[in-house]
Amino acid sequence: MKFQKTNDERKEYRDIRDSTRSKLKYVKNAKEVLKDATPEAKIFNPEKVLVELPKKRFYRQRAHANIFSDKSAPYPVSPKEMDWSKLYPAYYDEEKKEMTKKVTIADIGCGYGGLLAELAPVFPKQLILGMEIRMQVTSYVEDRIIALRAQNAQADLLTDNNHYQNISVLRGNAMKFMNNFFEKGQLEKIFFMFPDPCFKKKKFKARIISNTLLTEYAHSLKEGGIIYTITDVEDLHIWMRNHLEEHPLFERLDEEWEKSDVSCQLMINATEEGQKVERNKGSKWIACFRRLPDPVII
Amino acid sequence: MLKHPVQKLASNHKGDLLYTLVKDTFQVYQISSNTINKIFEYKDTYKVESTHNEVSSEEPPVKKNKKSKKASNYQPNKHQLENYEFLRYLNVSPCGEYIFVISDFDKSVLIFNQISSDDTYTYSLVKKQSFPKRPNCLVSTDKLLFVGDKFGDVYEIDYKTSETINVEGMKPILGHVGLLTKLEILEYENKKLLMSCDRDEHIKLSHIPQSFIINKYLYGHKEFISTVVKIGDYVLSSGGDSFIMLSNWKTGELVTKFEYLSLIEETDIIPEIHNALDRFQKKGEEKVNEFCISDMIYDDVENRVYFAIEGVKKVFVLNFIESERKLALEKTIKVDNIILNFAFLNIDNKRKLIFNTNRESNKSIVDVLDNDNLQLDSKATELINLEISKSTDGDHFNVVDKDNDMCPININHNLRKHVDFY
Repeated sequence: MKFQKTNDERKEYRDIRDSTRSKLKYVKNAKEVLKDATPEAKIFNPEKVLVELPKKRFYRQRAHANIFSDKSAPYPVSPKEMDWSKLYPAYYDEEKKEMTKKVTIADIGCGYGGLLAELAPVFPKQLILGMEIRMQVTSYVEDRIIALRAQNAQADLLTDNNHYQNISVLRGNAMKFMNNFFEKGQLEKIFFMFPDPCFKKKKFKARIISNTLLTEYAHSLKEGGIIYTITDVEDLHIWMRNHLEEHPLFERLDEEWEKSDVSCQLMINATEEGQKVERNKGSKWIACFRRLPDPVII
Repeated sequence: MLKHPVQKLASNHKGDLLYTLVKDTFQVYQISSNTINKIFEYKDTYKVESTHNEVSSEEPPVKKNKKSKKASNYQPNKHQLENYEFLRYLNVSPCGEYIFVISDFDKSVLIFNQISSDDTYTYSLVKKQSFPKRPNCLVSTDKLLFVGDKFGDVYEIDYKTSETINVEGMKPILGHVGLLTKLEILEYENKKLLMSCDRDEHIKLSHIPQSFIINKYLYGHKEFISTVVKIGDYVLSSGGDSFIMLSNWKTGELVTKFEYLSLIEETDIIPEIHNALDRFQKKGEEKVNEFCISDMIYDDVENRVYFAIEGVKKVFVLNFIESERKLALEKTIKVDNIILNFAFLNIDNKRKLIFNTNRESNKSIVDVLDNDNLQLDSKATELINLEISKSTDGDHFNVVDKDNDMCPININHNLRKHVDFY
């Protein structure tokens, strides 16, 4: 009986969210749109649900995804054709029909979006994008951003601020299609936080860091841009560190730097996965690397 | 009895040698005025010590599949039952002295050395290099051979020494996350770029030997890419899309697209090849047809591009007009059989286009087209067919069961992804 109740709850909660998400996720202020379209519900109060931060227990999904699968989210043919105005409505110039800013920070495999929410106030002038491959988890982050934007909308109007307008999330396969989203040298920071360890030897190619993929990340990263990696699996840490160290376009940053860097400190403590590791008293392994300038082409 | 068709052919730069792949055999034909002779043959097989010996000839080698354990009613599809005992691809080194053949046996590449003295040629197998995953495409510079596999990795090997590298010790120099379909070398100012194309619409240009630096991507494709042709500063690419794309690889600009779907007539459609699989058909609606390019070749003398659409019995001739940067259809030539791929030959001091067919009738294994007047050259065709049919006459080349005994020939359309975004 207990399960029946949770199932009903989950279904209704998801229905409320799903029915409105497509309308809300591309607008600046969700509250204004909500007035005329609020779904009916029995257990929850939809008006309340939609401005509240989403509840994680209704969005659980298996922690792994097949990155080699053909089934995927839509992606643009080229970076020029990507429509960013939907994701960052506050940074779209209606008159000139162009974006006022470009995405410069990417969180690959952003999970439940903990880091995005933390980074937003720290880098108010930069656009931050989370990429996540799992459908339910992406929905969670979308709902989270809708709620965060709605909660701050009132205050923003008065103070001319744009709280949480600079973060967004999209569902996609970064390993396959990252270069369809970002131009050469567009990004300043890329985060890889607690990636899937892919323990089996056969699955090593599915790891998010490999020497062939690093070449692609280096392409979208500008000179001096930084790759942040953190994991709670030592084997994976060694793997990632070794591959990054071997790659001619990256240079390791020392502990001093790690301590002084804001995003690095946030990364250690902010995310859901990080807090979980903390609770389980696991250890966290960090490695940050700077993108070196291209050598002279032979 | 149906005989095995020639699945791939190529020629040397001079145009007097014709290289063919038939089933598991690599053959070389020499063409001199009015005569054609087979001068070399190599039949590939598994290495003796290989574990593949347990695969008996009675049963087709079924891939070990996890799913078959899970569900008892699991039926492996045709693709999984595919027989992996063929030679797949053929390419010649820039100097013309080495020939590379991709073989299913031991997932390897065969490297042959060709020594010429006067007009006689002798051949020797330099080495058979195995790879971790099945190689799918290759290209070579004057020193190195680049091999792209079905897992998306590109390896480089030295093709002049007979030393083989242990499979476990191989490290890719660059990679995609998807099946690689074509590699090509581009050169500018003494620098080289490696162009790699995959099934996920990417055309990536990387510097070599500094393969860790990506030069650029060429965007514009919406479906897989199967063939690429380089024309000076430009690159023609095509595959599952309804167009052939012309882009400038120096600037990365998309120059023009040539739509080819309108060239296909109702009578050209062969349901078995062109109809999309049942699960992609919509009920109660007209059948969905899908087309893709099987091969393209560029003739730099006449500035022409020849291309064939998979399963369509026609050769399409395009004119490349460089001043206007566009492609214009010059002629369509109807042939009797399905075209597989193209090469150029020199017959009677004339450059001629040769293409292999699916050999539905025993007489036409290849067809020859005169470049000057774009007419089929029946005399040369007959001559070459006679020699090839003589040397592929044995019982070994009998095709009893088309699914198992024959190298899959119209395979490009299988690369289509049919993605329903969700």
